[in-house]
Amino acid sequence: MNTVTEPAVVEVRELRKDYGRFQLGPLDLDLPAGYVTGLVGENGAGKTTLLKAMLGLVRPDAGSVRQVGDGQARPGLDLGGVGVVFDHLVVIPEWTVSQAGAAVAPFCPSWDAGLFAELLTRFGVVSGARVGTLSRGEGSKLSLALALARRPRLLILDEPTSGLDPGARYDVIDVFAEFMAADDQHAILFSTHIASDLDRIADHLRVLVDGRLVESGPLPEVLERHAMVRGPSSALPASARAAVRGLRDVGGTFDGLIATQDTAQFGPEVLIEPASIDDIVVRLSHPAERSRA
Amino acid sequence: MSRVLRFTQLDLRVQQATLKTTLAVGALLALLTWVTAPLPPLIVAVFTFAAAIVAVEPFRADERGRLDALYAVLPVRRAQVVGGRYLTMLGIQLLFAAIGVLLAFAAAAVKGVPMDASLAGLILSAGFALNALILAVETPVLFRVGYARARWVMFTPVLVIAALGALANLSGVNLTQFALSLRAAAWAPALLPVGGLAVLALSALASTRLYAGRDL
Repeated sequence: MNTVTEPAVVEVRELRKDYGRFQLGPLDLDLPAGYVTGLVGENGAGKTTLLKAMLGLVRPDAGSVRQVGDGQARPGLDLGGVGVVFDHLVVIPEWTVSQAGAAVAPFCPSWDAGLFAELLTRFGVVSGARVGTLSRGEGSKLSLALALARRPRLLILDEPTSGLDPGARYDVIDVFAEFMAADDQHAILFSTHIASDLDRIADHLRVLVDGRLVESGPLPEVLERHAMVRGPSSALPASARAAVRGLRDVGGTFDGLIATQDTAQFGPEVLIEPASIDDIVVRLSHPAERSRA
Repeated sequence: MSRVLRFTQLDLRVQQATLKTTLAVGALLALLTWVTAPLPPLIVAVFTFAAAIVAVEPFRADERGRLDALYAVLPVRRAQVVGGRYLTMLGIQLLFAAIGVLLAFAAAAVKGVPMDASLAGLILSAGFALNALILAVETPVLFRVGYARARWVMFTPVLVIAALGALANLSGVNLTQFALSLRAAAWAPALLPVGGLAVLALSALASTRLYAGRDL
């Protein structure tokens, strides 16, 4: 499922990776230029595998990843223009923070040492500190500084705010916003399970369930396509049960996710509310009915 | 600077981080061989053999720092990572050989015994060739599965030496006589390292293929 109409910076087509017990795809994914695309899904949905396949860390069994630029699409990602933040640090613990920067810099033609130092100061990460002594949050900030100092056009982020306290998360989201504002060709793919981060910054949303994209589009449109219903079980007509995704029918009341176009199937006793990103992810991930008398 | 050399530079930066430990082990090794080696050229042998063990250290660092993921997101191809890593291992070999030779000469001078330069040269050449053989077997496995899943490969030096010994025994070759004949052969000091390099080159090709197919 892919409803993007804006020009893409990255095109993923028919991507598939089979691990036996888990299969990613086949899926198509476009990352629109100038936008932040949120990738959400429960643990094990395949978010990290998808990012790794896009980056070439895992070899897909089928499909293609192409980077689009100057009107041309080239196979693979041009890693010179991509900044990546994993949910773990990828530098050795014995290095100091500044040594980590010095190790990465020679590979990156656009490396901006001034920006690296500025970001460390802004994030409160001491450049002389040993990487092994950093807290998880400081490690995330270091990863981010390393990625941004490469002056990338595309940022690929795997849980970049995990381990950060709410204040630090706000600061990091501000940095992403500044990155996007700097150039209308910049793009971010932001994989996370913290929906509130996406509420603040995402323009597009992709929902991954069991290795497949089940929802995709501009965030406001995705939210508009769904609604939450809740009410007394007696007000849930049998004919409408099939329309409710992730139906919970417990203790005489029910709730679940519906497509907005199905609201007419429910009577006045049923409360219909806007769905949140969390609602969509949870209910689409567990579409089967859960009932208890 | 080519990306292969840049990668070697990165590899050495990583090794530099654990330099204190390496130096401490090296110093201990130097002290032990200084005291116990009956002939100074044997110091060269010990250091040459130690190089085979230390040369795979970069793979341990890869796992500790999850550096394979770092390499994968830098603008450096996997084949260049492999090339750079082999250069690093070669560099470690040369460094240890140089230290061994220097120590051997120093020990000979201090102890007042003659330094058999031709024996030291032969040990150097044969040691390099043997190490090359050991690393040629180990390295593709390390590239394919990583250090943690390839711990068994650390027994390769012992296995290779044991296998060569067994092979010699089965084929009726007297190893002492063989070593002496090598010493007498003028070609040995030059050809053994060339053979070692050829084996390493083949190993690098295998590593490139295996690392290319590895999921990180």
